[in-house]
Amino acid sequence: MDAGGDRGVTRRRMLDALLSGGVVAFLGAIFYPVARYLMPPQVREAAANDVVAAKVADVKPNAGKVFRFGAAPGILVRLASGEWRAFSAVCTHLGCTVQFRDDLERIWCPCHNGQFDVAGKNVAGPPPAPLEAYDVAVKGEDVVVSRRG
Amino acid sequence: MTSPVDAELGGTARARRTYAALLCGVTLLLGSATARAMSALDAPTAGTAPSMAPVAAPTAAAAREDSCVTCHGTLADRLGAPVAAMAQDVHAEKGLSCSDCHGGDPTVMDLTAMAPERGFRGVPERAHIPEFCGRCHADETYMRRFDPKLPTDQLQQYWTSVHGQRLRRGDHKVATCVSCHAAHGILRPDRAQSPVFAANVPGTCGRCHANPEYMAEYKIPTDQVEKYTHSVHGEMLLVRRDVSAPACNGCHGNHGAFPPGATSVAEVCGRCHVNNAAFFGKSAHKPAFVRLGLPECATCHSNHEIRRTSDEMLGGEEGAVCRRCHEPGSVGHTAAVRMRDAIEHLKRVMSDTETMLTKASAMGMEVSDEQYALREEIRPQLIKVRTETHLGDPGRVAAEVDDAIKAATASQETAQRTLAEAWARRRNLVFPIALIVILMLLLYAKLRQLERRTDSDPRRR
Amino acid sequence: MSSRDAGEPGLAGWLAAWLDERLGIGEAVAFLRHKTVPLEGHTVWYYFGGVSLFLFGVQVATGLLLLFYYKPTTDNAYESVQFIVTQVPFGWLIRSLHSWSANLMVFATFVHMFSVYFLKAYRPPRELTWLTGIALLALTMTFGFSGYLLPWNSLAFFATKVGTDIAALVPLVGPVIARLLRGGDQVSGATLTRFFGFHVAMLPAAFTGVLVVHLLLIQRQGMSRAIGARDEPGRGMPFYPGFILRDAILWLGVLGLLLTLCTFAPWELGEKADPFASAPAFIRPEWYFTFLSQSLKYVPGKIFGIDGDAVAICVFMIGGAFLVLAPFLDRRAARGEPSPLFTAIGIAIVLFMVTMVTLAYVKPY
Repeated sequence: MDAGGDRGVTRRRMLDALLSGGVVAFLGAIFYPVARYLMPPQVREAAANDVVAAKVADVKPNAGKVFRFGAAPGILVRLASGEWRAFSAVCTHLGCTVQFRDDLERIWCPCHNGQFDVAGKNVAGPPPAPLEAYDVAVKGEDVVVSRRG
Repeated sequence: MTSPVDAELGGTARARRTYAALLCGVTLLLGSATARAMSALDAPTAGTAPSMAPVAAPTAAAAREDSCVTCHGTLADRLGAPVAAMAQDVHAEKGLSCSDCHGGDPTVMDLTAMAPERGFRGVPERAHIPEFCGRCHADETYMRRFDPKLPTDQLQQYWTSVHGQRLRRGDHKVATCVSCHAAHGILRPDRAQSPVFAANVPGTCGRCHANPEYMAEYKIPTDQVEKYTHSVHGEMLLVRRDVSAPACNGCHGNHGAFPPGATSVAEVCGRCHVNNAAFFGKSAHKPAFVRLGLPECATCHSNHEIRRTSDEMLGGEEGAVCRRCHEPGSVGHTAAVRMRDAIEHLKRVMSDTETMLTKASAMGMEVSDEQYALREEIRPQLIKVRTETHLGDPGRVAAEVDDAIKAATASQETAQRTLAEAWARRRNLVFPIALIVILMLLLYAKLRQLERRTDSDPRRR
Repeated sequence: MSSRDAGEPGLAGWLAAWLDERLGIGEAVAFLRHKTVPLEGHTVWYYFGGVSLFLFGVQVATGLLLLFYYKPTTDNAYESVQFIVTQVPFGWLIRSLHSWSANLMVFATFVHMFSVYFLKAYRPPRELTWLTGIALLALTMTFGFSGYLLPWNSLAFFATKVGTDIAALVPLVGPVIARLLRGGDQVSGATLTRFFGFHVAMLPAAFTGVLVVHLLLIQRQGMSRAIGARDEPGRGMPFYPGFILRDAILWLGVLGLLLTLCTFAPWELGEKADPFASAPAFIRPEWYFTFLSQSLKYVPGKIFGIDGDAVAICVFMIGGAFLVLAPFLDRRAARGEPSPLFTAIGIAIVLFMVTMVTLAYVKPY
């Protein structure tokens, strides 16, 4: 302890300094990700229950638009009267994406000629069930589609 | 039918029924001509020429006691069976009873109820069954009271069918109404137990058409049902129970059953496969097939044994349907190879993209946008291209494929970027791990130092 | 810092002195220096309690962070976790850390429990330490069970279904317990709400309470020494710096392991649960429940005319009761003599659990 005390003290000081530095770096390495994590990301939070399907101006009367709703497509239909309707765009027959046919005024599936009326009901061809209907609300310029409770 | 009647029978009525049954039994034992007449399906009864006069209002008979049911209900075998079978019959459900089809007077409690002068028609001769049913079913005014939407053209259609035409020519082996619908115990076609319920139709048609012995004299194949069972439609209908898949009647019609023939196959298939038929109609194949008398869709897809389509059907290899007509080196062969190559190229790009996305996703990366695009935008394009091959235009297929590949490549690039980021996370792990290791070493050094000091600390000794 | 260190110049020294004056750090350090940990061949096992404690700390920290974005409803639970792992910076890391450290914590707690068992450290006067420890293990597993459902993915959904079904097998009270857990007759949104409540409020409160008692008891009684160890004064390892620094080094190592696991095997999210879909072909609870679920697969339908599963559950409950009561049953250990019977029973239990867990992963059917 007495012999070579100076060298021992120097080494101890150095070790302490390194250790303090290490601890500070360690705390930094923990607080940086935490701080980043706590800052809310720019992206809009994933909402599964409603989505802006289109702008009002994008869809003319007697026309339709396929939009993305969660992991599956939905179809927004604007009737000739201007009324909005929205359904799942997944055909209840074999899962093709349906489209709006203005000549038929029906929702039509190109795969096997399945047809749904503008209430989503299967009216012709192989589809065994109606399309799931969604709620539509117009908020300013946005047409917001939401799942039914 | 028996039960509602039974329910309304009073004590005296029951006694009367016993008496009537006894009477019937005695008459039968005596071998009465009338009784024998109504006993056999094929034995014609005197005075049963089909009358087209609509029967009286049905409801009245149901409420009152019905001597047909009273007597036949006690009889065994053929004479009694219809009474039991009628219990679930749609006609009984609508309040119709025996006499509404067979005539006679059910209020009369003895055998004179079946006298011809009481309008008794008995059992129709086989050749007359269509008119027997048509007496009501072809009468719009009469049918309207049950269901205004119910078609009334079955009889008319039947006469246009091969069955009907042969029946007219005196062939009694062909199907009549009762062959498919049964005679008593007829169920609505949407009831799963009905022989004409969609999934039961192949079996029902097959009762005759799959019987080589029965069909021998007609010299037509009997393997249609077998082949259909293995077809994509058969699998959908019979295995997956998708009643929207076409059964025999989906293509041949039901009452007017007729082979679609070479000229109208595309029409028949095109009712569901709209785009395929439309493209085919515009293709160079159409006039060529007409000239050669080939049955359009069926030429490549077969008729009863329509297999699930595959990309292998297209192209220049052995086994591709194109090869049946187009020899290697011909223009058609080259076109087929070009179309197939384009599709395979698109499929490769798609599967590469998918592999990458799956990998990125497994590494905890967000790729749902790209997965959606692949599934809901690019895959439909592939399906569209496959449909467009029916046009037989390799230039158009190539152009469509290019569009799809462009979209798929964009997804692929995003996937690549995401994967790179995922790898970066792994690389960057070096830093915290290095920090942790250094800190561990420093702590260990400190520990050694402290312990050395403690060991030599006189206070602890 | 010791009083000698407090004499160091500079800001650090001044701060140390200031704190020492107010908190008595010097006394605490001096106390810890004199507190010793038995130094024997088994010392390595003593670290697993500390590792469990460290992992619990990681759970609390990452759990609190997850609460910033998680939404406990059937409509949003899955999506919010997806949002955390995909959109929030380092969200994937926080979520993975929470899942991985939960699993390591269960593992460490089991090792800790069995090492205490085999060293017979439960013997008097440490019965209460043992009982609180068993309670902590049970709470840890309940934490795992409730937390597993929270991402509302299909695997968790069906595992919870199976898990609550097993709970329903307990004679007499089973159906009531299952209903209480599920918040109804089926696993549903009500279950999610409940499990969330258990996971973030009730269990942490209960765990902290029991943990404090557990640690105070250890502090009060010191660490147990193995049966037959000769009493050698001065042979022990001083708690500070020896044990605490070694603990710190080990904890850092565990943290490194966690980070590596999270980076190379991020915890999967799976598919969103669909209560109306049929169960996936391959469902299994978290691995620490598989010894239960797997052994139920080998139980015959009827044992002496009684429902086989109910009998099996009773056997497991007797096993659990045995563990709880071990300090009171093991009279030889209480007298300070070796108790090979209890060692043998313990080995049998460990072998049984390891076999079942292995089978669940190697040959599930």
